[in-house]
Amino acid sequence: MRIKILSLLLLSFLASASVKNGEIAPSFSLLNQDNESVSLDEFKGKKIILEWTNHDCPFVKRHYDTENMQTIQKDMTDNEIVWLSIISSAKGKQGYVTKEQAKELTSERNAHPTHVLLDTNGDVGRMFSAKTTPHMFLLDEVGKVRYQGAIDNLGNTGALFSTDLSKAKNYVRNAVSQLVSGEGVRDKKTRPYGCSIKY
Amino acid sequence: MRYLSLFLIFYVVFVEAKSAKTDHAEIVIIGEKNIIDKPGVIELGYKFTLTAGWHTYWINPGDSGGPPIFEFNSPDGWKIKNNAWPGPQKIEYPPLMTFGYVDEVVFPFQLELENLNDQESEITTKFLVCDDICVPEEATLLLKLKNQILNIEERPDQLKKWRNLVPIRAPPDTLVSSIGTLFTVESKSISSQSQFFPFDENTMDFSSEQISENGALSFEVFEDFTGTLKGVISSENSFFEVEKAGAVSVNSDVGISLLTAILFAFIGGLILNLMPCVLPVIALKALSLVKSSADSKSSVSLNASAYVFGVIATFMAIAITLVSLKNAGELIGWGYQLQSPFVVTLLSILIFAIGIVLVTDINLGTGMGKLENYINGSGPVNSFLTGALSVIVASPCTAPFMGAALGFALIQPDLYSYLIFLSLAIGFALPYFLIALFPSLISLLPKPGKWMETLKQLFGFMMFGAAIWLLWVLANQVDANSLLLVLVGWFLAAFIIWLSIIKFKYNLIIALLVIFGWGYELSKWEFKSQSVVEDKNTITWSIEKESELQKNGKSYFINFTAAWCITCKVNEGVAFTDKIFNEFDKNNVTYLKADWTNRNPQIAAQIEKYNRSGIPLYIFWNEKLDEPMVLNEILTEGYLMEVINEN
Repeated sequence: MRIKILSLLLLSFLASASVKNGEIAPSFSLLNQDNESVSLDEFKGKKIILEWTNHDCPFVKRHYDTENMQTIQKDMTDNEIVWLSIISSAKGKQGYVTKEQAKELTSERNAHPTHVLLDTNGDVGRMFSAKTTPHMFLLDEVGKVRYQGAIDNLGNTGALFSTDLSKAKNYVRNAVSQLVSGEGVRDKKTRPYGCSIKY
Repeated sequence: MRYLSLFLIFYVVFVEAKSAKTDHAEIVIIGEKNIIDKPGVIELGYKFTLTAGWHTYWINPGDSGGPPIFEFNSPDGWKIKNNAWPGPQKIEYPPLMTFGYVDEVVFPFQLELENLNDQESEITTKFLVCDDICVPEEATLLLKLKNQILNIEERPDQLKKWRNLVPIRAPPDTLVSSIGTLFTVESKSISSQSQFFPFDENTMDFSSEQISENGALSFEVFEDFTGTLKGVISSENSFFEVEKAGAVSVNSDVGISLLTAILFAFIGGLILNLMPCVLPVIALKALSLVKSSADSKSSVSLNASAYVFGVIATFMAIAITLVSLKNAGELIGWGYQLQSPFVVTLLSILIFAIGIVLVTDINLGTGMGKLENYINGSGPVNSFLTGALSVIVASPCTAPFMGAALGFALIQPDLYSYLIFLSLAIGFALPYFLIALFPSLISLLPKPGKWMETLKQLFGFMMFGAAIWLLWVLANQVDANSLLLVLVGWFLAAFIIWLSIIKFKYNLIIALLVIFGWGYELSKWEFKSQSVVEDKNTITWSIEKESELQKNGKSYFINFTAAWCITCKVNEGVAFTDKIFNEFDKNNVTYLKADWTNRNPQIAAQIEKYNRSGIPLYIFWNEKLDEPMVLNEILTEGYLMEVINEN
């Protein structure tokens, strides 16, 4: 028991691998829908939003079917904010797509991501400890994490599926506007909700 | 048209039905029996039968998913209430962790009938049903009472089984403690299979490892976790709720966390090297280690490591001795030692004497330089012994520091005592070890000199401070004449030390005579208890008083305290403000004080009843509570306000 508690303490001391608010997010590069390598570093000087997604997940579906996600994407990218939709589903699992399917989904759903990135081996998802779809991260101009968590406060099953999503408290929108106004992000970290990422 | 009517018929059948079927679930309301012969509360349950291997979620779903929700109206004469959540099981999708129910679940609820009139209510449930993928589903059920028959399925066995899985109150022996972010729950009901499920999503990393054995369960919460820890713990075939308020105060306000203590111990160990009896010889010793290694052909690093092990082994031996003493002390109730005026007296004289030794010029620690005389020869075995001896020989200098570590270690669980001593040992051995490996580091050592003497003297004054505090403790226990005898003891101790400073020929004989004489006086010595001074507002606690208040339904607060309990004093200073006493008055809370400064078997027995071996202990009770509530050991004004107003 004692040895185990000790190792537990040590483990938790060493292995807090997840990204922390206020710290620079780990860099990565992934292939996008056009088979081009996209690196986080090339967006220095811009705010970046990471959206973990899985088009077959009912939570994601609800956000896209109601045009909620697309509207946010458009508002953000119109304001020079980089939007990266990341798919960490492993091959053969729900949500896995090829480059062609990724492109098709974007046009079919009229989505506005800057890039759709394919993280088929899940490395980047694990690096960020991304847990659910959707799971959102906001990085500032120098790459520091400013928000991580749910997209809005409708985490409860029924609330998500029966509420007008535009009326929800959208954590991502709020974080961006608070960051822009300089008042500091109020909700910095929330628990993400949705489907588990199919690593 | 034909299709439409068919659809209509289907719809009616659907709503009439007591059960509903979706793609991956079948939901039915179950109960004990469907004939209702009198108004009152009827126990029912929503039974979900899921596609084999699929699951739905607990109230806190974990990393993904979401709990089912139920929507209904309570029509005239009906009240649908008390939806309950049976304890969940872990459903793992590494790296994610979710909490829920696989294959089937029954959510118990109650229907309260004011009369037996025909009535009905539509209940809609929205839920997620998942295996690898998740599907949101929705179903509507009709609960209907007609001719005193309720349209439910009679499944008393299943209802009973799931009602038994609804978390109950924590067993009375449950003890929740925390050190930093590590929480430990102790109870006889905990088995090696037990698991903690938090209610709040911002409590902890759900997939972090939990350590359970018979009687105790440990887990870690988030570093920034604040507020009340709430959740359920699974035991053999049931679940119970635990709640521990104000974890944050343990973290940051008063207590020092384990990691801080370890860090301080390490720094303390390093500082030990600066003591006058250690520093001058450390370089010398390290170099001789290098030299002897050359002679014996064994490598320097091997010798240096052996030395470190020697130091660590000795420190650990001291730690084991202390912990055993502590545990032996706990058997008779920790705190008793300090309660005994004899122990306080002897301790105060000892600490006073150490203070004098530190302030004056006597150097009891010159033995370090003679180490080479003790050990002739070289090699790892000798290096090991050198390490061990250096701890022992240096001890007169290091004792004050060890005292501080000892003090902290004694109030900690055993494991932490060992960790603290280990860290102290590593700190002590490190410079020596480094110099043995890299002899050029010697130039970085601070030069021995006058400052060491000054530092030593400063520590002497700290000892005087501690001795004065002990005297104050004693002053709360005994009358002025008895106190005089203690001060005579201080005087004699100083005298004996002076004799040895001037190297008086017969000092040993005189010392023995004095100790014998004074000891004889002490043995005849009867401590007269001080007459108890009572504050105006304070009512002295007694078991009779307490049960009288309880019988009359009057709220009360008990403060178990003692003059020698520092934490109690801190709490009283910080939290027992006028505002709090006004709040007590306003809410008609009787403030009872149980003073344990002197032995009192009634108080000791009462403390034991709450499964504690010591104080501080704070108890609050009012009519709404079944049992008196044990409050945090660390109090703040805000926390007390909360306790008074929210219960």
